[in-house]
Amino acid sequence: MSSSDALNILRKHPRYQALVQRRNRLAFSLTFIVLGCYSLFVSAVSWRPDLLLIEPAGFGLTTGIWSALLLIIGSWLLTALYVVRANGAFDHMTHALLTEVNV
Amino acid sequence: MKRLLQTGVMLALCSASAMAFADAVAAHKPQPNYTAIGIFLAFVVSTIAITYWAAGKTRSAADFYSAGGGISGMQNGFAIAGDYMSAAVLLGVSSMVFSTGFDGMIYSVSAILGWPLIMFLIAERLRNLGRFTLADIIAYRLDPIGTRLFSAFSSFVVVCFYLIVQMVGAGQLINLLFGLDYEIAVICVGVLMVVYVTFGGMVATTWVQIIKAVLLLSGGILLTILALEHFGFSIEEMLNTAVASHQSGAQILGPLKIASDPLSMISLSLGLVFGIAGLPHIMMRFFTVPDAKAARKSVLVAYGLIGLFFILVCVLGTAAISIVGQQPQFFEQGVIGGPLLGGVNMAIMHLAQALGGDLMFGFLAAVAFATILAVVAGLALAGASAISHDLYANVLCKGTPSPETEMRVSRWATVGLGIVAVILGIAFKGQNVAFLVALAFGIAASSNFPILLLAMYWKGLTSKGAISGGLAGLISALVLVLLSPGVWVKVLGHSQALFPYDYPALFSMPLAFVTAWVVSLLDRSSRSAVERAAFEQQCIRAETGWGADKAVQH
Repeated sequence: MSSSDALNILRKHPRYQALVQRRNRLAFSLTFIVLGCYSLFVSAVSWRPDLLLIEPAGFGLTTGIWSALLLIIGSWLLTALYVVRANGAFDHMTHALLTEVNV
Repeated sequence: MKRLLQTGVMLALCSASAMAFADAVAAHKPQPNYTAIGIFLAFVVSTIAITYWAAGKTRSAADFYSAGGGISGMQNGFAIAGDYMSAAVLLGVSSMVFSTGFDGMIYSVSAILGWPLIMFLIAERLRNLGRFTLADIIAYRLDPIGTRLFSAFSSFVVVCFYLIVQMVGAGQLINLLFGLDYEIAVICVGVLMVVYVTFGGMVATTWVQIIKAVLLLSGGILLTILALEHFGFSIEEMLNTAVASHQSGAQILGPLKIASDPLSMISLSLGLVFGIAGLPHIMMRFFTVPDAKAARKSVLVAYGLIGLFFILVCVLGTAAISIVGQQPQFFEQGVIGGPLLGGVNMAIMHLAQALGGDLMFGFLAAVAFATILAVVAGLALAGASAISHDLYANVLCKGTPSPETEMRVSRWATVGLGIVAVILGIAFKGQNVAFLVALAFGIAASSNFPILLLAMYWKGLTSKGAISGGLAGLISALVLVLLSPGVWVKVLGHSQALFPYDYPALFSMPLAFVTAWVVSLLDRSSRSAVERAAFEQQCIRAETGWGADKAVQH
C-alpha cells in the first residue's frame, strides 16, 4: 500500500476523527482553564492588589500566596490528568488505528 | 589513537582546572572554601568521566543531536528541569523575593506556567514531526531553505543572548566564590562546555543536566529544611518575621514593584509564558525520547521538579529576609539595609552561610557553578545543531550531506561557539546583562513561538508568511528592547527611553502573528497551494506519530 493510500484511509477513518476530536477538545479546554486562571491572577496583580492581601481566617497565609501555590500545583495536576488520558485511552486508540490500517 | 587523544585531553583538563583552582585559591583568598572546591572538582571529574563514556556512544549525527532518541521519559524530565533551572533562577528569583517579597512569587508563577501549555499544545506534535531542531517542524511542509535559514538564525540569536548572560554570571560567581580571575573563570567554562559537547554530544549533555538537577534540588530541599527549622517549621512564623524585619513591612505580601505598570506586567508575563516554547535548547530535548508517550511523561516530570524548585526558592528568599536581613556581617561595611556583600544576587548564598556554615555555603556555591556549566553545555549543543543540521546539512548541502562531514561540522561549530562565548563573556564583563534574559525570552516568544504554533495548527501558513512574520517579531523585539529603559537609558546613557517598557512581547508577539497571517493570506503563489495541501499529511503524522522518527538501535 502506498503512503498516499494509507493517508487517505487514515484521514477518513472514524477512529482517527474521534481520536483527534476528543484529544484536541481535552487539550484546548485545559489550555483555556490554565490561561484563564493565570489571566485572573495577573489582572488581580495589576488592578486589584488588595484582593491578594486578604488573610482568610484559619488558613494562615494571604490569598495572594494561596492563589500562586494553587496555580502551580493545580496546573501540574491538570498536566498529570492530560498525561493519564493521553498515554492511556488516546494512545490505545492510536495504536488500534495504526494496527488496523496496517501502516 | 583517537580514544587515546581524548583520554589525554580530558586528563589534562581535569588536572589543569584543579591546578588553576588551587593557584587562584592560594593567591586570592586567605581561607579557601575547600568544600566548594572539592564538590565542584568532584562534579567536573565525574561529568568528564561520563563524557568519556558518552564519546564511545556518539557515532552518528543522530547520536550527537538527539542521543539517538534513546533517553527515557523520566531521564529527559530531569534533564529538561536541569536545563530550565538555571543559576539565574536560583540567585535571581531568591534575591527578588528577598528585596521585594511577593513580586518574586508572581515572577515564579509566570516563569513556569508555560510548561502546562507546552504539554497540551506542543510536546507530542514536536516529537512526532521533528528530528533534531525546531526548524525541522517549521520546514516540514514549507520551503526548506528559506524557513530553515530564518529559524536557524533566530534560534542562534536566542542562544547567543542566553550564553552571554550565563558566561557573565559564571565569571562573576566564580570570581566571588573561589577568588579566581574573571577571565580565567570564563575560559574554564568555555573549555569545559566544548569538551562536554564535542566529545559527548547529547548523551553527555543530558547526563550533565540530570546530575546537576539532582544536586540543585537536593541542595534546595536541604536548605529549605534548615530554614524552616529555624522558624520552628511554621510558615506563618517565617512570614511574620519577614514582614517585621523588611523595610517595606506588610507591603511585601502584595505586588510591590513588578506591577507598578499593568501593561509592563502583561508584556512580561506574555514573554515568560510563551517564551519557553521558543527556546531552542529546551525544545530540542523533546527529540531525545523515543516517542510521544515519553515526551508527555518528560514534561510531567520536568514540570513537577521545576514547580517544586520555584516554590523552594520562594521559601528561601522569604527566609533570607529575616535571617540575612538582620545580620550586619552580610552587608557592606556592616550596615543593615545597605547593599548586600557581593551584590543583591547573593542573598541565598548568605542564607546558606548563616544556616549551614561553610559546609552548606560551599555546597551551594559548587552547585550554582555546576548549574551554569550544564546550562551553557545545553545552549552550545542547540547552537551547534542550528549551524550544522540546519545551515550546513539542509541549506548548504540541500539535505544530503555526508554523515562524517556533518559530524565534523557540528563539532567544529561547537568549538567556534565556545570561542565566541568566551569572547562575548569577556567583552560584557562588568555590564548589567539582566536585560539580555528579557531579550532572549522576548525574541523566543516573538519569533520562534508564533511560527512554530502556526506551522503546527494553521493550514494557511505559507513560507512567505512564516519568514516575514518571524522576522517582524524578531526585529521588533530587538528594536523595542534597544529603545527600552533597560538599554537606552541604563546601558547607553540617554536621559529618556524611546519605548516605555522593558519587555517587548506584548507588542512584538502579536505583530509576528498578524504579519504571518496577512502575508500568508495574500500569498497566491503556486508554491503556497502545495504547502497548504501538504498540511493534512503533516496533521495526521502530528496526531498519530505515523511515519515519525524512531529511536536508533544500538
